[in-house]
Amino acid sequence: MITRASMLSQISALLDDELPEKDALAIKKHLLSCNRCRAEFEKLKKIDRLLNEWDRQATKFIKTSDTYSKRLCQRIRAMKNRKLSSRHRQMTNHPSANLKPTNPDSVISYTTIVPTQLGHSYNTWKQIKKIPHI
Amino acid sequence: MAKPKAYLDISDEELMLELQQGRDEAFNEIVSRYKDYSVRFCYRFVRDFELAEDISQEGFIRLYKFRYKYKINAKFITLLSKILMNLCLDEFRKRKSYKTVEIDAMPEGGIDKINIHNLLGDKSTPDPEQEYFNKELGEKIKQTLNTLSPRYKTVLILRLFHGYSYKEIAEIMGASLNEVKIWIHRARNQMKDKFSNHYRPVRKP
Repeated sequence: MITRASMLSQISALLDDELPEKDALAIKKHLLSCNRCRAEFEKLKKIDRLLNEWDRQATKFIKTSDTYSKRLCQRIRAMKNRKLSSRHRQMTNHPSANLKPTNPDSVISYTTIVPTQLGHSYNTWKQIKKIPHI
Repeated sequence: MAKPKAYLDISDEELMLELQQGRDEAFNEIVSRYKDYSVRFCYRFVRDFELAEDISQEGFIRLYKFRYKYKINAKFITLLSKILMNLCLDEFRKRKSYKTVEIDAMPEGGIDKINIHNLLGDKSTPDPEQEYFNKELGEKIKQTLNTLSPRYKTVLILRLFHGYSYKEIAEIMGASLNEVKIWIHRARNQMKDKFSNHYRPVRKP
């Protein structure tokens, strides 16, 4: 036997046209014979129409402002610059940046770190080139 | 700026692939196709135009930032809606507005008194009293929606205002079809109860 809660859930799905044909027919048949469920169906339908109409009126003139794309472009640039400056900080704060060349260890470090830093710089340059122009 | 011809007939999903290959013109095309949609989407959550523009831009920035994570089998509109929805819900959490709204001062009159066609001060409304009632009603609908939990508010917005199917809503929200069906039913029921409690029938003189 179908419970009332389950019936109400089916009514809601019927309103959204989300019931299989067979179930939809059964619920429609029930609505014809049950005043209580029919009243519920009508109330929900009215709420739906009310919300729909309210939203339609409130959003019909919504359009992005003229400066939208320009501001978006600026924000993307700012994001990229933030990323780049944090990468720059990482590079300058790296312990290898303060190593003295007289230390034999540092010679090894320079041979490994410097090419890596050059690689970072190349990637950074590539990132700058990638900033979109909207 | 004139659009490159090649992008006019290309699908959204293909545009994302172009973007992944480093062609930023594809991003421009995505923005021009979806900027109005995204602002309207956010507006339906926050009901503040400037904030909606801000959040929608944040959505595009996120899309650009995580462009390499996009997979071709995902529908683009679902991905964009998901990003925007999460940003709007973050905004909700920041404000927690849905918890602080009072709805005691609802206008009197039964739900039957509501003239849907004249809602929100339609210019063709000749009756100032009806116009005032409609304007006030619009404000109350907004407040009532804000009293719903973010999840219920989201399903109502996606279903009633955007007309998404249960399957699409499930994809956007990362839930099962059954969960979506239950949430929509509960959200509708809560709206109905809140309206029924606060709109008493009109007494005829």
